[in-house]
Amino acid sequence: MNTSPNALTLHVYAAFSTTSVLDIDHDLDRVEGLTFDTFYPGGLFGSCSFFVRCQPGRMWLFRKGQRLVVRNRGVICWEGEITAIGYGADRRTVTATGYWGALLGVRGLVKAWADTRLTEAVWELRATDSAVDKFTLDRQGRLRFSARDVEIASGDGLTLRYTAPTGQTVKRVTFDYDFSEDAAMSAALVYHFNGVSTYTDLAEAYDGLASAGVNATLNTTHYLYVGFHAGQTDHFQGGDSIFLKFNLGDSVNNNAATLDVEYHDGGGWVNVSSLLDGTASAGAPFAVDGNISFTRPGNLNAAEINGQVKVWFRITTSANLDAVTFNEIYIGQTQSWTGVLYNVGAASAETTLSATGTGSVDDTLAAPSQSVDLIFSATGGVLNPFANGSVYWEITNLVVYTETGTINAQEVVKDWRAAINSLNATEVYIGANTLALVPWLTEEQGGYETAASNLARLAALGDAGGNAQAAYLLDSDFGSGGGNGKPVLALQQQPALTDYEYTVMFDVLTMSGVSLEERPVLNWIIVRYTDAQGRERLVTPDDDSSLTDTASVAAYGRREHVLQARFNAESTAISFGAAFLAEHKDPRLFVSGEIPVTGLITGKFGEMVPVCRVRAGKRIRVTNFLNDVLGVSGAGLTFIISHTRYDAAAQTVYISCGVPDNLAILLARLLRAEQA
Amino acid sequence: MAGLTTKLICGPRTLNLNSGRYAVADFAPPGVAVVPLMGGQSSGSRRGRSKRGATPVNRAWQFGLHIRNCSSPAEVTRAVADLEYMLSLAGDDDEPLRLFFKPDTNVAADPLWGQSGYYYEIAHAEAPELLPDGFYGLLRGEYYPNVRVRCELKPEPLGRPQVLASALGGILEDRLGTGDGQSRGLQIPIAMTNLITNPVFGHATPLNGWMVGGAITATANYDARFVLPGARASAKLVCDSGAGTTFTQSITFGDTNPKSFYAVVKLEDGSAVSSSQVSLRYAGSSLSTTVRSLGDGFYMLTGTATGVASAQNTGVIVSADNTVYLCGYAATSSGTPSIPWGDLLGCSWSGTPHASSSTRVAGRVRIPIDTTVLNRQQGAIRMVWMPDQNSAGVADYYLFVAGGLVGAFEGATQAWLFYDGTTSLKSAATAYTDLVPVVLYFTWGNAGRAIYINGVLVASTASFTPPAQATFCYIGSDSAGANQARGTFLGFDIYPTPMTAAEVLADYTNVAPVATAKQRVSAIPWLWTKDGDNVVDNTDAGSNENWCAVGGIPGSAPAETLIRGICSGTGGQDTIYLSLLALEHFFDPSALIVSPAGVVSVTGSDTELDTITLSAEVFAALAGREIIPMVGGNEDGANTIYLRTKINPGGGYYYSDYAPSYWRTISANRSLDSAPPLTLIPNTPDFDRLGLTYGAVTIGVDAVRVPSATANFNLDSIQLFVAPRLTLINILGDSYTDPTFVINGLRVHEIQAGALQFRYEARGEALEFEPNKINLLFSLIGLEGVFSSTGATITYTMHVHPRYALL
Repeated sequence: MNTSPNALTLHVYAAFSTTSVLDIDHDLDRVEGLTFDTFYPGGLFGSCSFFVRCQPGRMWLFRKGQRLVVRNRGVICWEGEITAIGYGADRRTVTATGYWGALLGVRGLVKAWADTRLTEAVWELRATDSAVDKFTLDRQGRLRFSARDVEIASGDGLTLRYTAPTGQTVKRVTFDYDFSEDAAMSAALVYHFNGVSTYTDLAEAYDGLASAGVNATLNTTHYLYVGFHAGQTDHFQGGDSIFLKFNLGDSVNNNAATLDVEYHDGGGWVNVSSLLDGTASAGAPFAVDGNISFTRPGNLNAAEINGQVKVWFRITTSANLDAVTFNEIYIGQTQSWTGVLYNVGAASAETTLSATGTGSVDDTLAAPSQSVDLIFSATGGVLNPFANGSVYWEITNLVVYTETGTINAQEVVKDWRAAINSLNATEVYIGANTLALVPWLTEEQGGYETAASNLARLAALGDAGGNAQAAYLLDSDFGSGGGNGKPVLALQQQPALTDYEYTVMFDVLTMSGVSLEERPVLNWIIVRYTDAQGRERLVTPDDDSSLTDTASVAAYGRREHVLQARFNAESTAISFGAAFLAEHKDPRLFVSGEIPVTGLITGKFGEMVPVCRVRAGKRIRVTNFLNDVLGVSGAGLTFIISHTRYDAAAQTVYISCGVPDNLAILLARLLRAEQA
Repeated sequence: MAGLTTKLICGPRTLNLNSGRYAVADFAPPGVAVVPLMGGQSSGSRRGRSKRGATPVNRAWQFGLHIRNCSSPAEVTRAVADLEYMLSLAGDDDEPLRLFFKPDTNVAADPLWGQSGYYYEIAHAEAPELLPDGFYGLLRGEYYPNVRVRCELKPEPLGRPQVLASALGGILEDRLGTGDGQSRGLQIPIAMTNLITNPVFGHATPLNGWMVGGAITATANYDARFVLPGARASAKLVCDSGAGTTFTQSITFGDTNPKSFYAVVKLEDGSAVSSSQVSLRYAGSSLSTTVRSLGDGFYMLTGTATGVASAQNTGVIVSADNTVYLCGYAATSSGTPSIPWGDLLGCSWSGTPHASSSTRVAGRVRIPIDTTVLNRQQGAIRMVWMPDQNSAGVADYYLFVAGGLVGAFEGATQAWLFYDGTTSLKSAATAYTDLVPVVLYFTWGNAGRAIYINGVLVASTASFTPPAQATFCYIGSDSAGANQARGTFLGFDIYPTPMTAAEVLADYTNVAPVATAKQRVSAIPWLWTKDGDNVVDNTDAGSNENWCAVGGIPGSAPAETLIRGICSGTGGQDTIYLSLLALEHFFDPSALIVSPAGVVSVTGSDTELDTITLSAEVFAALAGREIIPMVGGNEDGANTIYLRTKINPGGGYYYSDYAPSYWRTISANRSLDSAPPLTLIPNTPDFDRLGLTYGAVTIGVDAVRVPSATANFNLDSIQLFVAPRLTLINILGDSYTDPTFVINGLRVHEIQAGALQFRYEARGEALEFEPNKINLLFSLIGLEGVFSSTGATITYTMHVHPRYALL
């Protein structure tokens, strides 16, 4: 008979099941030295140990890996996995570990939910590409494919391949692009000739800047002379299609007319052939930005116009035009290039870009593939960009997803739940958390990471509202289907300190060996992180005001702190810093040691609760301490219980209060190291 | 007979340490080793530490033993070896070695049903410490004094295992006037209807229905010293001089037959009550009132009158300048001096509780017997009976009936009878006296039959024809549950052999002081079910009851309790939920269930399924306990309900966390699940003085759908279970139809086809019946998501192995 309110019963089950392991000799009725602990955030159950006095050689059926449950009146006080069975001279010892360590601490993934990395290790340059030396690749915060100023045959190109870890597939790719296959060179000289004697130098039209222009009004008797150095036009071969590219300003022409373009062959003016006016709109030339293209004459030669020797083109109009602002005039050659997002698994192009321009791509792959390629290649005949980098494909904000849905904290936790089949299927306790997690990877650079570590990092970011979060495992009784012996994954906001579950009084007994200590205020947070390209970055309140708190600075002065983050994106680093700021901008007390409570603890409403049921993650209020000192109105002196240690022999729980920074991460690592 | 009985017993092996070669020397019975758990003290508490529980522990103990009466050194050596052999048997949990101790040697045989002595389990014993120096000299002396026996004892001594008697009707542990609240014995009363509609002032308006004379100031009293056990209040009547000194209620007998009136009163100082101070009154006349002391200042007023068919007032009349507490009142056409009201076990209200008449079903108690409990061929019964009236004029009363073996008192001849199924043994006329205990011995065997009263042989015969072996031994009534021997049974024990006259006298001499003090001599453990057949139903609604009551537990600590339950009509599920509620006073468990059979639309928001409001009395009984609402019902479809428990002690609810539940989605196909436990706040009776009373505490269950949806939940019932509770779960995850389960503490087995199956896991706490309590055992057969038939039953057999916390 045991009349204690903390009477405990132990049961052992097959791993992650409800099938009991037979306790042949009722050993679990007479365990000794039983202790267990809980911790939060993370957790909830830490370690548990006990021993049974018996002949060590006697048979019993308890084994490593089985599920151990400690109950009080049918309520689970501790649950975990037997991790070691020891033998003493007169006993067997059992050590068990809560599933946070025993399951989530040893089960992990290599996974990139949303991957923004651009490094060589991630986007691998394919060695099979031909004529690699005809291209350059820039990974400085972007992927920029550029063609060099050499002859490039059709099919030449560059390919970058992204490969998800085995078992993972790429499901979606998003990026912004700037694609240009017709890069051009500014003219060397531009005149407006009034048909009589005056050559007006339109310097703004060839100054290399498209930001400002010059007006000119062409009449039917006028000419627009556009001159180039011979070296410029030499890039083009006779017979190629070339163009004069016009970047127009505020004033454009609205009068219908037909343009005539001539070139100088050294002896006189000759009409170009195959003329196409890309500047016309509704029959009015120079109405929009565009190219006037034609076949490159084979006998382009320099000539002197107004005392200037250039390779000249001149343009006349069939009708008088309005004043036109010429920002810049170029010469170029139309080429044939493509940028392709390629589904390797499906062997098909997902997205193909072939026209000069900018835009965004959000491509959910028709069929998920472990690998995708980005291919930049020539598709026309022999091409010859007239300058290095004049033809390019620039990709920014590239994100590769291995999931199709929105990547936020809630979804990531659900993915962890689905990835580990030893967890209960319920997702009820995975609360809403819309904090966007782009990028989000295992081990901040995409390496192997345990679930416990990844979830702890995730929880440390808080939610979109800046509220502290906690990821942990509930006992299997919370599981769906009547509970199936599998722990339940939870992601919840940390409880507010305005309410509480237990009460205690601080006095000479409970305070023996412990003290109340105040954590320093920190209100100017500088976050150091390593970005996706491996560069160390700092983000400060000067960059983002959410990293400081005006009221706190006014009240306590500016208290700076550099925070090391394990995230590779500025947005995530800022979220992490903001969550840290929320926890530190006001004074917070914590208890330096453990508060012992024996037998029963008083609940909020005066009900008496067996102390063996006290769990970390609940809140405890000191009722003989009336002042609000936590920066939380009405909180009095209320703590989140961060750790409990229960000693069954003494029927005493030792309570640690206050949440140390990154405790979950620390514990997860410790458990992983100890138990893996 | 003086002396000690000390034996080492292990299974069938016995070594008497106070006989033959052995005599205990410095023997003092070992005490009890229990380590109290004291809660921490806080500066906020000025009361010091509080006991939070207790843990029994083993402890070392030793005693001296003389080896004597030997005629040779070899015999001394043999005696030492025999002792060592017995001690070597210690440590086997399955067949433990026990030290039996009894502080007398009065009766050679121990009772088959009853208690005698204490059994200490020896966890470990050391070989006797011998004295090398002079050892052989001692052997030559054929005497070896003071051999030291050192052992480690289990914490608490046990008594003898005892099967519970089956009980029916309005039986009652007689605690009124015992002062310390312990029962003095078991009453097995006749049926009775009490026409008083608010007999113990339990109405929300305590004096409701009573008319107060002008000279009387009547107030409700809540001081428990002036309240009947199990009641909440009494009427404090302060009478001044002047007209109107009656305190009465109007009743209608409807006939003119003889009527009886009973009142229990107490004075402020507990002094003797005189009929000149307070007397009974009916139909405008004061009755000739007999005043009898019940102990502790309580007095029973009795009176009779011829009934008047029309409505008449009845009650008490108080003489001027007196203050009287009227604790209870009864007016009946047929009854015994007692105050039945509808809340008592085996009683019911005819209408609204405390506002209608009460009916008590006749009591019946019977012990299931075979030859291991009562042997038809030989044996003895000792019973201690305190009649509640004088013998003159009584009818025939049955003291016990075991088939052909019958003990009775014949009213016409005033003789005591012992019938063996063939012939009656009858004493000379020997009257008994109201409230004076009688110690009776009935012996039978091949030497014949005998009747002893208070140690004196009053009848004997060599004639004895063994009757057929009976299956029940009825205590205090005939085998039809009628002709009750009215009064209180202070003890009832069955012995395996007929006691000798010397044993009877020695035993009587031993127990007489206790009986004379009107204290219990031996407990009569009983198991009450509504039909007296040990069968409980699978719901507490309509004519069904899923609970039983257990009382009269011997010992002084929660007993080791063995329960066998045979399930029937289960429909294929074998999970058993059990809950034990040990109460100081019985209350009707229907207060703990709401059975609406209603439809509740459960949405994604908190949805209240239903609530149960506890009366002040029920709250007082449950205060501080852990509550587990057991929900029965089924889902219309979604099956995504989470449940939480909530308690409103006044001012608002507090809640448990939500926990998932799992239901059948077949209409009208009930399954069961428990809502999360939540602890009820403690009671603060001291605050009564400041006007605080918990008028109504409400306990409810909320549901919510996750993910959010809207669908109907068909609620069958919510029943409050309390801790300790025990759930028996099939460890293999399969299930059997109509299982039999066996419980001993946390060791539980399921039996199929008579074979041990090892299929049950005991999840929860050991269920152990407490002495001096009414132990209500609730049960439900079912499981979440599994059909649970409301027509299922459990048939119990229960044994208790008493523990003694103090000696």
